Amino acid sequence: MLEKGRISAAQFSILAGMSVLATSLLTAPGIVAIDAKQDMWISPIWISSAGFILVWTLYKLNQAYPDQTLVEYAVSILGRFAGKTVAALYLVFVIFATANVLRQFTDFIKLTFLLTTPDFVISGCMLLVCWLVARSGIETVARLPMLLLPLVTLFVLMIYTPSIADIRFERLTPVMEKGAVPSLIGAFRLLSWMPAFSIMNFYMPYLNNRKHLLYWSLGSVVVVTLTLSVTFVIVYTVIGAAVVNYTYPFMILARYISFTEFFEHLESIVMMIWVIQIVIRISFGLYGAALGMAQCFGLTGYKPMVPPICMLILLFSLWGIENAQFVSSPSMVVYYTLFGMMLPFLLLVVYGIRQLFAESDSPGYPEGETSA
Amino acid sequence: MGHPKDERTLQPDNGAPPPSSVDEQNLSSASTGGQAQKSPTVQETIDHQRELLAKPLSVKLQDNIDVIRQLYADCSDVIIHEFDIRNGPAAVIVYIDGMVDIKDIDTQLLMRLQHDGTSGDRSKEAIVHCVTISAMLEVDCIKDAVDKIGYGNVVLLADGITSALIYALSFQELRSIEEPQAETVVRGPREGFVESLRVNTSLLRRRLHTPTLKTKPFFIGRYSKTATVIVYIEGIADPALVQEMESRLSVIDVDGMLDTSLIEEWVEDNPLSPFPQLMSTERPDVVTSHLLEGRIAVLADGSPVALVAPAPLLSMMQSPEDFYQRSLVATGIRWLRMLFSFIAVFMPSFYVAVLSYHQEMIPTSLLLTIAQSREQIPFPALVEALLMEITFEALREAGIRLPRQVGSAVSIVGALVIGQAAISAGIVSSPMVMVVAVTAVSSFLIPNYSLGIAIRFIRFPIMLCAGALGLYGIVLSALVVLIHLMTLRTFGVPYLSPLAPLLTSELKDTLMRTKSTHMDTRPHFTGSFYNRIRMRVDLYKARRNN
Amino acid sequence: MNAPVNHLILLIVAAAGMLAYDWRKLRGARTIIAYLTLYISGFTIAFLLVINPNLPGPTQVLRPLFLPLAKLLLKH
Repeated sequence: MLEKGRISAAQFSILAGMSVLATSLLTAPGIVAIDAKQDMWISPIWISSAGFILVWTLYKLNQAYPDQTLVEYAVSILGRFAGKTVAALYLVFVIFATANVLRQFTDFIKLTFLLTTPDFVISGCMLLVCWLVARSGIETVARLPMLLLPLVTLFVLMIYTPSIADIRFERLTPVMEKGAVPSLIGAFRLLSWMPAFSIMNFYMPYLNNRKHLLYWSLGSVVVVTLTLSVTFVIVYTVIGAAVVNYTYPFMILARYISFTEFFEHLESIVMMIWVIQIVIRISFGLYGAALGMAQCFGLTGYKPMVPPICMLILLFSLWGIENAQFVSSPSMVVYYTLFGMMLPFLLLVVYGIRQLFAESDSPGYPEGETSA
Repeated sequence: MGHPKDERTLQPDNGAPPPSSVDEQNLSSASTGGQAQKSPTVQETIDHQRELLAKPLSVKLQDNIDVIRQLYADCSDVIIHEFDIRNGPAAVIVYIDGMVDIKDIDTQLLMRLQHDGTSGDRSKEAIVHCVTISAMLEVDCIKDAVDKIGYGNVVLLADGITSALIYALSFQELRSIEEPQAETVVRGPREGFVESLRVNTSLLRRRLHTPTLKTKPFFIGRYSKTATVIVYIEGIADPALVQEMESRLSVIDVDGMLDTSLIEEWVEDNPLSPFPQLMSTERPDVVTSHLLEGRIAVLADGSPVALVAPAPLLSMMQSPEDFYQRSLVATGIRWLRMLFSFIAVFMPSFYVAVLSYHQEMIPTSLLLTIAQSREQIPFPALVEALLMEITFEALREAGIRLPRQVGSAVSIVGALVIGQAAISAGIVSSPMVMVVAVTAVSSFLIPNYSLGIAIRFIRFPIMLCAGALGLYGIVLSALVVLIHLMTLRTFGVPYLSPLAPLLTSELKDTLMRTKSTHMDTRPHFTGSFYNRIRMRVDLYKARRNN
Repeated sequence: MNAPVNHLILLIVAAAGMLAYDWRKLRGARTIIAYLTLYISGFTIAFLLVINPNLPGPTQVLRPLFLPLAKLLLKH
């Protein structure tokens, strides 16, 4: 075992939920609204089904191999060579997805707050903090979101509550004017966030109360869906169809707020929410990638892998990306879906088929290859 | 201690006997009456001492006297009094002047032995029978006898007896028990620990009249041989915790141990952290309440400060006053304290960040005022803040170190004159002075002094981050501090418990202070040993319901 | 031409510092190999990026690879 720490199912689901919400709250409204318009609040509900399937897939795989991560059971299921290749591709996906999150965050800070600070300083400082988190072990990675959840909730409510007065529900009508298609396209766009749930697999073997795993992880998906939906409703009812013009509609929401002439510009609170959320999201990915990499290479500890992966994340976040909008481009979404959702699902399918054949041969077949 | 080089700096009182060659050389020099013909090397001196100490007590009194005289050569405060027991053997008493009660020696010891005597019996029992002091011990080697003399006991040696009789007649000049200056309360006991271990343990014993209050002794320091005790309540404290403390104390191998702060540095989990990982207190009531919660305390002779372990962060944010005031008020004060400790850490950096990066956050009218007062200031906000904060820390330090008569003058000059002059000279702005003043006041709301210092210290790196990256820098550095706190442990207990990991059953005495009848379970730290029930409230509830 | 030189020096100092910090903690040949694999690949990419910031990245590779599939799905 590379990791001796244990986390609880509650910590696990808060970690996953906050990680997925990290960038989606900030940028998703503007992107989903392009196609879905006033139906954008339905999109998260459509996509939650994908989230449920993904979580169920990971749960099933975890039941089959309780002490292994995806990197390890890919080898058990597909054999040594194919398994290692798939695992390596998956790790590249994790690193790449995390790097994209970092890039989105860097752009956000650079566009709104620190206009003259170089990119690599912003992302470098962020990675330094995430390195500290990931280095401190799974317990810190999982406890940090638990500890910060009340703070983030408070901040988010501070943004939502004052805007209640500006809500115009008639902006949401007519519901499904053009049928379900626009909201489905919006849901497709959301697929660039949902696959982050697949990083859960690195944490599943280290739960101390595994019997609650399924409920907590499904609950995590439900909470993410509801939060996204509520945010979409608030953003669209307050700002209206102009949402598509803004990269960060949530910021506009904060800018609208005027509390007794004193609390006027709450953008910095939005920034605080995002720094916290992004630290959680990146350490979620960073720890997973480092653990997976160590397992892929067959090391005895994951900690030496953390700094070089930090370096790779930093590079991938700067390399050949003109702006952060590319994350929502269809090809990216397809890439994310392929690796974040289809790959675990295909692993489960292959496992199921092997189980079928194995039952006629010998019962404990998959365990026979774990030594590879 | 395998290396001879290390031995040079430590008295080898627990080592093996020296090699025979050196032995003979020393013996010969000793028998000629002086070892200072040529100045001896460190090794020779130490070997000589060690060799003398390792000797057993001899049957011949004169041999023993010779050894003791050699050991206590040039010690003007050691009295070696030779006399004859009436109708008995020749004898000697050895003690240190000023550490024993001379009147008791005269009446209880010398008078009995010299006037009444043993009536011809030369045995040890007869002598013991003759002396009317109950506190007596027997030792049979020079080293133990010398240790006892050092602790202010009287040693009686008699001819023909191979053991030394130790009489505890120690007498110390002590500071009287007074209220600890650093931890005052309005309501509650006013007693504080003093520099004597015996008085301190008796202060605890007076609050816990039970044989389950254990005081396990240790002796730390090769030269100082400081008596140290681990205090705990058997049946409440986790034995594994006591064992852990024992094992951590047993590796302390130093020349002298002057204060419990040195023990703290040896036993804490992360010596590089600015945060204290053991709680230090001068109040016996605080120690008692922690003992009842299952913690353990360490007290040492010569130090009025007790260490309590394990000490998570939130237990150090508690003041004893919290438990002597009404619970609702105490909760309010606790929240105030938390709020102001955040202000103490973040206020100056927030000011710097807002002024340098986020001016839009300030309401326009306020911004205008600040801009007006900052018009003539030549420095950026960061330099201004650092300047003022460092000056304040210097004044604070000067206020502690200076003699009391001068101290008040310095603080007046510092606070009023320098502040006013700096503003009118246009070096700092008046909002900055206000920020520094608020920070200063709030940092003193933290009840634990070492935690207060830690919090004042981490302010400076956070200010630098704020100057470099604005609010982003503050949030990042706050997260770094948080992560550090999360990874810290005090004796196996996470530093931030019961917040992270969240233990809902133990939140009754953390962010809030519930009614004491509600705190019916003890906090649980480590291990499976857990004495859970703290009080039975059935009768109380029955009375309330009637 | 000045900026790349400055950046190169910065990169080399940062990379050397990272290696110096980590090196003492690497135990065992496997760990060293794994670490160096990632480290050298990262350093090479960083080096190339400093010399030519417009180096086509993984995004440019992925986009044409997945675009047909995306078009098929969405008719964009």
